[in-house]
Amino acid sequence: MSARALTIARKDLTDLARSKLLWGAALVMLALTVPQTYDEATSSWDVLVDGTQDQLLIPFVLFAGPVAIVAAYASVAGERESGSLRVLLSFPTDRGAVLLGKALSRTLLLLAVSLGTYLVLGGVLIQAYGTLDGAEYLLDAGLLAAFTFAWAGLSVGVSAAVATKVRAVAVLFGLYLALGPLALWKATVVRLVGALVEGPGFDPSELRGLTNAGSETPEWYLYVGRLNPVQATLAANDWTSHSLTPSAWSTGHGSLTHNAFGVAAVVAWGVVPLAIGYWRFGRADLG
Amino acid sequence: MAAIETAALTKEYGDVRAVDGLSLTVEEGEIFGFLGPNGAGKSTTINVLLDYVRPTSGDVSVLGIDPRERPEAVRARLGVLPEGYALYDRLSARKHVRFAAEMEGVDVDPEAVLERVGIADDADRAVGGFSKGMTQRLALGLALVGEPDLLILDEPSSGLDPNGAREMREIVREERDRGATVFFSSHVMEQVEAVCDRVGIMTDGDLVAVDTVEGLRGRLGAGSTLVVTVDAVPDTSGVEAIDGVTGVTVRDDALRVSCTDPGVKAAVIERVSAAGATVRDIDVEEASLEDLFTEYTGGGTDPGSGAPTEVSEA
Repeated sequence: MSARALTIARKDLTDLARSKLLWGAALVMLALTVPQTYDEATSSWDVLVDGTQDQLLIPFVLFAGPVAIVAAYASVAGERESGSLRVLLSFPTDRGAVLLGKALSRTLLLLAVSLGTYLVLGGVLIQAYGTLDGAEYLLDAGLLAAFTFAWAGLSVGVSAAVATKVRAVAVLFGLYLALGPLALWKATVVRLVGALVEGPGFDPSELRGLTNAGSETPEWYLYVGRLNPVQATLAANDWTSHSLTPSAWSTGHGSLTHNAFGVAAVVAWGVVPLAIGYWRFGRADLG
Repeated sequence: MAAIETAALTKEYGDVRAVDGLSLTVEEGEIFGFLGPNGAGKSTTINVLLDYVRPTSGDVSVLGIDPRERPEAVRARLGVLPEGYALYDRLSARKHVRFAAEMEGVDVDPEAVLERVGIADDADRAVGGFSKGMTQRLALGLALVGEPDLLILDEPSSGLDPNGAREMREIVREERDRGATVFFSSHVMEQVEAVCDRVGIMTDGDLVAVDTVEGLRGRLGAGSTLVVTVDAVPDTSGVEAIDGVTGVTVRDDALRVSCTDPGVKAAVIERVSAAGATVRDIDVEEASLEDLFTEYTGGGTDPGSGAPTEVSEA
């Protein structure tokens, strides 16, 4: 299975290289991050590299999701809808290898876009400040890779789990809004777990954020809050900023255990949808 | 071992029973024509053979393997031209063949494959710009990669012009002569008639007839029609009196004599001469499978059904 999955991934990348998708995604990512970081680096506000470097991942947390959705929503559902999947599956392979191949190619593509952009941002920092914090830069690169993988796996997994491209986009866009801008996580999952642990009177709006947790913040929230990949990434980014260079005004960024759990949760957001996609795709009628 | 074997195969989509208790056997080394009107369940059957859809009940075996259990092992020995497929618009024909070879784990000369299906001149063009016929040729070429033991072709002539359809039949024969089994579906009778060793006629989800082309003709009952062209039309009562002649019609200077017994043809000509006419030409019209097809699938024979069965090219 794995040899065919690699062949499928390679062919997918050849195909993508000829599409505007790869180059479009890379350009969008650069356009969304470089000017912002450059402005910040050259403004008089952040005179030290630390302040700017701490913010380096923020635009990715906002935009990696949409870029992954655009790059991968059609990865399986599109082939299923057009009929090219019928040709693909006429060769000696199975549905698992098709999904694995697609997950590989789209993950590699998105990692190249994210880490490539991140490399450019590192260059901008060095240009502006003449230096950067190497350990933090590398840790954040790993964090960015995990976050990018989460969105790649989620997008390919959903694409395999549904029958049409429209459904894939609808599910993915809904998840993006729910996990990010709409703060639905706190209003739903955190509220539910809180009611179970703290009693029915629990109000999630009284909780402080994961990056400035206080002594009154319940321990369970430091985990449940990090089950949201966006929150987990922001919290871990805060942790890499402050535990490496201790800062007086931010102490509530959680422990190594909390943040390691958070990163594991981020990776799970890539793995679990792929598993669900595999299960559903494997049982679907492709007629 | 049979190349394809299904037993009591049933596939339901909600309330619709697309395949209804189908039991089908295709022997190794034959060209089997799978014939039926659109919507008869041919493509659903093929989709089950390829493990694109899973049957509701019944058994399937392709080259002795259950495709549900070991799809990869089945596909390693199959060449497939599926129905409703698409290719990769941005990739060239040559890249498609290279990809197929890599997937099949074989070494082929893309040039030779494309030459065989008649599109070698367009090897380096992206297939997004291909016509329907060229796409169909390339898809057939992809099915041939890896010298499959069994070729499953779903409506292979669709999109092909008469020349292309003839070349396709030629390739089908070559593949059979190489030792492959060929299973192909069509709703066009003449495609099947021209090339198949055996024909199965499917309608409403089940086979209604399986036989050789000759065997099917024999079943038709109507027998053959003897067309005798004469200088002047004689009295035909003597011909009509022959045992084995079911009817005589006259059109211009030709008598059309329907015979159920092929042995009466000489007697017919004798009687025509005896009646005073000079025979100028003799022709025998075999009952066409098209008639048989229409008869089996109910098209046009049931006055209450309204529209005749669709048999034109979709």
